Amino acid sequence: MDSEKTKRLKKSIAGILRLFLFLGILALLYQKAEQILKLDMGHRGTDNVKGFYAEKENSVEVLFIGASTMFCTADPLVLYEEYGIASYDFGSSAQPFELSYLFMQEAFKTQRPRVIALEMLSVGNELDTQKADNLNYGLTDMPFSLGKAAGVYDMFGSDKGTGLSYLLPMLQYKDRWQELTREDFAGSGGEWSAPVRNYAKGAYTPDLVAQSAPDFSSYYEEAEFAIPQRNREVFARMVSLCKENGTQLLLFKSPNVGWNISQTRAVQALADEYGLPFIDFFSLMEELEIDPATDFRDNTHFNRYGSEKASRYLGEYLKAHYELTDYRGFDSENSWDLALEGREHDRAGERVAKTEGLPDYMARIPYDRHTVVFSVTGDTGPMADFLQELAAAFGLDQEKILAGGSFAVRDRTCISGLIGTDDRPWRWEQGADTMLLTGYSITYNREMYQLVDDGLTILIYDDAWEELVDVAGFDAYDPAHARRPQ
Amino acid sequence: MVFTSWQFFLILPCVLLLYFIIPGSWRVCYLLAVSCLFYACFHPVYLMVILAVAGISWYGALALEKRRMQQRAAVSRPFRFYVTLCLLFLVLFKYTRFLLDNLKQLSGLFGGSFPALSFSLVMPVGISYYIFQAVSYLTDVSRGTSKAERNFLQYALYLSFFPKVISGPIERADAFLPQIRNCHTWNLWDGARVRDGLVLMMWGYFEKLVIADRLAILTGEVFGDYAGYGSVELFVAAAAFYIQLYTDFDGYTNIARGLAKAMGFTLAENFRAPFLSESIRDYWGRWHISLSMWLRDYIYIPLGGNRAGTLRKYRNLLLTFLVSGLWHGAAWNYVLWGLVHGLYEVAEDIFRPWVKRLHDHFHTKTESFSYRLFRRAKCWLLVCLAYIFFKVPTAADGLRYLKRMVTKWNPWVLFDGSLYTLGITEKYMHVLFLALLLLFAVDRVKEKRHMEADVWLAEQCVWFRWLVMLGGIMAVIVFGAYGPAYDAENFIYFNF
Repeated sequence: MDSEKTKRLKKSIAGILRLFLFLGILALLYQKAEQILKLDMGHRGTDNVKGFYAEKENSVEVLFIGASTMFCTADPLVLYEEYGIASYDFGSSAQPFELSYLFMQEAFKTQRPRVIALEMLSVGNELDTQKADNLNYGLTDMPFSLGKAAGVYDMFGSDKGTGLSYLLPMLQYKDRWQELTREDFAGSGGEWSAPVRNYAKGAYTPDLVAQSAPDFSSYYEEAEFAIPQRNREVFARMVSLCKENGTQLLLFKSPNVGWNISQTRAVQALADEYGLPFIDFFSLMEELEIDPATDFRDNTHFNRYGSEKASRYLGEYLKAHYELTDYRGFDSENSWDLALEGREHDRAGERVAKTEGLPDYMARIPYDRHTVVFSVTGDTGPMADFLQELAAAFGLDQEKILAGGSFAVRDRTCISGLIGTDDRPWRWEQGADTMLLTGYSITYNREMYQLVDDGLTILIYDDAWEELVDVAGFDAYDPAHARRPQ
Repeated sequence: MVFTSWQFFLILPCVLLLYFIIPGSWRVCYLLAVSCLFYACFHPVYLMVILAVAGISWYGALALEKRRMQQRAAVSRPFRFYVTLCLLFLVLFKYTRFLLDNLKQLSGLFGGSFPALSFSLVMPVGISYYIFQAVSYLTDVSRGTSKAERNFLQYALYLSFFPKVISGPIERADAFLPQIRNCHTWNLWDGARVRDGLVLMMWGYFEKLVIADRLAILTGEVFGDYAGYGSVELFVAAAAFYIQLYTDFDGYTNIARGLAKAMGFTLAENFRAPFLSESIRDYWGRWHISLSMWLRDYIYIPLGGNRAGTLRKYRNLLLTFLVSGLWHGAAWNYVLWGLVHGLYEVAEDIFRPWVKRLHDHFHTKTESFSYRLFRRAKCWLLVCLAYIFFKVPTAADGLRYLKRMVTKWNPWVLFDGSLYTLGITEKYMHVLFLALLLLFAVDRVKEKRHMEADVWLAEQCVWFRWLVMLGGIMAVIVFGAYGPAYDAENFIYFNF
């Protein structure tokens, strides 16, 4: 009887173990599928959100929260480089105000910032749960937690089913299987990639200038405006959350077309009601010499130059009004130092990609953490001496190169040897990227580059970011003008 | 609360877990409470309707049995009374508007005026199913083939059991009531049974979400604007609708049967590979079997069946199919659909000896694959054509659809990619193609080996079983048409 009981018990335990094993495998499969299907939204959300969770605990002293106008205004690297402030831009594109509150709650799970600077663009807009993108940017890469579930539950009044799809992002992205590419399976790689750390610290400040300068003339037109009641309630919760955590709240608003003085006054009134400081960059444009013609990338966002001006002001202000630590020069590893290094790396790539003449181009090639490929084709003519010097610099046959050939250099060392026209092709692979060198062309990710018939084609690949930086061709008889793929 | 709603997925594990751990003697009460809550989720008033029908038929059956014990002759009048009372609910909720509209049109034809009545009763979901169950129960008790149930709770559970209350199968009392009576004695901790039930549910969800709801996009697109399409698209849409209807209803049935199985109950089989039918009679032996059997036992045979001469037989067939059409919906297109199927059956019967003579004359190899394929294709075509009337809003639309189908010939759309603009992308067409192959394979196993997918899978080795289960669940998650990007498609047979 006893053995019968034991048998049954053993069978039950084995059954339960099997069930858990099955559910475990299913969960793993689900997680992997979700990882592949989820859209990588880059600076619009993925980089900022993932990067924030990768930050060391209690390392951020100033946290910026808000929509894209926030991360296009405050540049934590300027704040660090020039003021030693450890800050981070924690937000997502078109972020609704209620989502900012959820971001604030999430932030306090791992950080104890002295200051939270809240960008107020979305305070006038009621939450529209139908605009899925606005929520996906911020919610997709936010890890599941009860706090997130509660926040989403709160946002989705009667439409809880749709809310559920933001907690299980697979439901938002499952149809993406129809557009999957090799990159989706490779995952995000690279030394400074978001899952490890966001080297831009959440900021997005591209070197782009708006084609036509934003017209702010309507800013001073009075219009009726009231902050929606729901957002007032959310703001009250933000204030008390900051109080509970001993964090000081600072409000700011960067300039954008469509915003008007009535809205600024409403935000100012709200700030006054709670005794909070408010920085209005509209009123500071003259003082900071912000020029709409050069400092914006579109009607809503600063570019690199506008952001630098605004960030310097923010740096001065923060230093003057709060007791903040200067983290520069600390012995221990500091992710902001690494971020500066990453930015410099990135900008080196940007500089070379904008260069025209061959001598300047050669001088600006960033060899560190890059793979550089040279391919010589046709009649080398007046370029022959230069090419022989180039071959000599990497220990290659100076005569052979004049007959045409290709070679790849990584960290200033030739890794391929000289591939002549009669040699077998050389293959290279990194992450999801592939390259094939023959004696007369470079094929990168199945795209063939031979930009000039007679002369030199140079391809620069960023090993750290795992992406193509630039491809330029220089004609042997006209090396002053780089030719780039259309 | 439908089977594809997120609320159902959240609540189901709790309901099952609680069912497994409560004492056996509480099971009937618990299941009845869950069924009532489930049904009340659609509308609390619906619950009153089903309980009223349950009360009437339960009391009626007891009264009929008592009378039958006393004197047999007195049964028929009260039997008619109770059946009529039950059917009144169906007429009131389902057919009143149809009757009023037709009376209005009829009076208009004769120049009269019909008072404008506004009628806005919403039909309780599943009413056609549970009223047919109540009627069959009353009939069986009055005939003496079933005993009247004395426990009202058990009887109410028979009518309202939540896996089947919305769309059947239409269970017979003598098959289902004994299960309810005995369920307190069951040992529910049988992992294999629960697993098989969940596998059946998974297959049901696959049919519904991966096949039916995707095809719904295509059929919605073409049937919604049929005047804008040519023969090929119209034919493709008609065939797609047949597949959609099957996978939608069979999907629901498998979810219901799987859920019931996980709880220890066995529900009747409703489909047996209908795509493999070789004649219309064969088709009705495979399609919505619980309804076909009901119609045979409670309409066709009482009318005289095939025992009273050829003409009477044909009349009985046509009447039975007219009832079937009306059961599906209170509209003339459903009546026409039923009539078409009735005529198919009559025609088959008339031509059968002729066809046999032809075969004998030409020595046709009637058991050959090619001949059977031809018969299946013919049956497919006939069924598809009839379903056009099922899908379109009016009978006139059905006739126009058919006319376009034969007059607007456009074979080039098979080659110029037009078929990929009907709401289903090219990539999804490939997935659909694989899913349909799987569907045919499962049906083939059912046909050849007479076993359900879950039973077949249970016979396989463990790694294969796990592979299929994990792959199936992931396929439903990734390829299913659900979530915020889709308008949730209700199960089609909910409307009946």
